[in-house]
Amino acid sequence: MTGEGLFSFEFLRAMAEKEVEALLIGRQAMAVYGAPTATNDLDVLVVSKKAERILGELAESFGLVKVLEEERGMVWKRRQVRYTDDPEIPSAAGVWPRVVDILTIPRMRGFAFETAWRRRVPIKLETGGAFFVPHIDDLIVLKRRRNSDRDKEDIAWLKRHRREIVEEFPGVGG
Amino acid sequence: MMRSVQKKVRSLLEERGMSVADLAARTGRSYSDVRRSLTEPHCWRLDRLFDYAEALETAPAFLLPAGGEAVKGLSGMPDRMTGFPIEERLRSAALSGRLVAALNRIGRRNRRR
Repeated sequence: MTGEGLFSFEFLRAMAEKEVEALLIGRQAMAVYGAPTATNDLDVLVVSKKAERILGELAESFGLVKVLEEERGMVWKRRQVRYTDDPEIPSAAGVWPRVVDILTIPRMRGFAFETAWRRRVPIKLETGGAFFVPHIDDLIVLKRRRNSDRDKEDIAWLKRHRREIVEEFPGVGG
Repeated sequence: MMRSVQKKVRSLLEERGMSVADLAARTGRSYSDVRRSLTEPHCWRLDRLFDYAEALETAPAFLLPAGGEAVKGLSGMPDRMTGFPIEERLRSAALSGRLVAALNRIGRRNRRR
């Protein structure tokens, strides 16, 4: 299960089997869109407690442990739960710890999960099932929220390739 | 450039615990051919690059040098990985992520000295 760099894919495959209402965001979503990016972390966006619970159980089934749980924001509420290799176990901590961040962001300026979910992009797997990434425009909005230097670089890349990505990944709405 | 590709393949072999003989078996090439391609000045054809990448379970682009510099975000790599299945894209991102993490770890250790 630890996989040679394939943990992310195994996790997404399991997520697809569970049919969780969740969107893969962050740099892994950019990798799906073809960005030659480098990332170890899986960022998954959910909106329901049920989805968060299922993904938490899934992370635990991969041997990960919860290391963070926090809520922020008065107007735009945001919740983050992080699962990673147990830092207390040296062998499990490894050189490249696996990290799954489960984020709950129902809405924020320019973004609503319901809308993003409606126009989600299904990524069908050869083994059956599908996981979902946000439409490129929603991914841009999510990246704009944090707006770090890396995010700005990512946004520029997404905008540069927007047309071809929309053609390759038409999304649920077509 | 060829030397850095050879070095990259050798380091991936080591990382995966594979031998030259394993690589030869996985690519259907002779041991001497694979050994020569990794040690001597050698101009590869594209099919060799693709064969080795497949055997090493990585994206061909990952074997190419990034201008001799560390992998930083989107720089030094092809602008968009088209033609690769999704699994390969995710694998490439994760392997590159590991490389970046390893480089950062070495950097942190060196700064502490």
